[in-house]
Amino acid sequence: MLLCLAVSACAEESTAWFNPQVPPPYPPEHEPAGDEYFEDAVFLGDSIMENIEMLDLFPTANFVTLIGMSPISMDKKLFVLKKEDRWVTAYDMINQYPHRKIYILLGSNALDHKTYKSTLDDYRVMMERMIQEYPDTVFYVLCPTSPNRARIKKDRLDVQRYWKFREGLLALAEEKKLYFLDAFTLLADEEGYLKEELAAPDGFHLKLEGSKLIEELVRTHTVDVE
Amino acid sequence: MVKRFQLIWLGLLLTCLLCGCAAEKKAEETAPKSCAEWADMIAASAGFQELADANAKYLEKHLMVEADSLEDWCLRMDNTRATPEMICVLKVKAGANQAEAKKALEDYRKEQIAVYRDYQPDQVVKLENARVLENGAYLVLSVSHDADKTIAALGSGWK
Repeated sequence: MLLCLAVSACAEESTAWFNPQVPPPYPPEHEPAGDEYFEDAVFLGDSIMENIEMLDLFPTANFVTLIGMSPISMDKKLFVLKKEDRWVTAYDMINQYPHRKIYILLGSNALDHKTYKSTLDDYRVMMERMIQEYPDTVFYVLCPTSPNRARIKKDRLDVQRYWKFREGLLALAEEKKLYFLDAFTLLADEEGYLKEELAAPDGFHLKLEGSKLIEELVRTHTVDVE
Repeated sequence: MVKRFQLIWLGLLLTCLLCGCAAEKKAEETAPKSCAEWADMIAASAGFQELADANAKYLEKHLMVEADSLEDWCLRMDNTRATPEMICVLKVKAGANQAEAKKALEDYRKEQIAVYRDYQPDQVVKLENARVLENGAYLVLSVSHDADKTIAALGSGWK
């Protein structure tokens, strides 16, 4: 019983590997990193990340993406390994690639129907598992973007949910030693709505310009992992 | 008299043959030559979302088609991924497994139906109406809001 509690406590207190010269959560801004930096990076995410993959913005990186994915569906939605003729979870899929760095863009598909607290709880569970499974990996968490004003109104959401999630994710990044990349405020207007000029017709996904802004954010905020 | 009729019929037959050859040559000249040109033609037939070209890595990973098995190909996806709209035109190499490539496209369509059923059910109809079409070495999968128009745009010979 005591052993279980100790193991559980250790798991809860686990933090990710980070560069001691650059303490998380904020990576420094610098000139854009070249493609070589992303050769051992995995980009994990939903349709917004899949779009970044499709647009080939990080040609040397590997992507683990599924449309509709959220933190809670990491071990529910499955990926096919065609050559081995079997289905695996996102956690297993990451192991198929070099993963010294993992970029995560998840949460949008939960925030549209769950509370920010519930989404954060799922995010924490996911991070704790990832830190355990990939102990030598640097994690970059990209704060998910919000929908535009019309979509938030249509779906009867509250933009405050996105602000609060951002606050909670930043706190989690500090606690777990994750590097925080604020795609939310980068792409939102002052009130927190996705800028109209960046929004796809559905008000949720990103036009090319929005994806390119995320690319720039990622390339200009990296840490040395050697 | 009979000979004259025979000569007239022969003349008519030759004229028809010559016209047929000319029409065929004209069709050949105006027919798309590359997969990208086929894709352009399909794109012009229905109001697609803005599409972007995907690369071979994406084709192989998401559609599970080996690029090495293709003589030519073109894959264009909704450049926001907000919808499943896409155009995929493949020209399979002689001797490569065309049935496998065709099955891969059909599997992709079915998989996307399952994905969108949970995610954006209003988009499922586009995938349900889409069909994988074949014409010689060419395969086409286009997903749009008007499948009939895109199929009609391809012309005859596709099944």
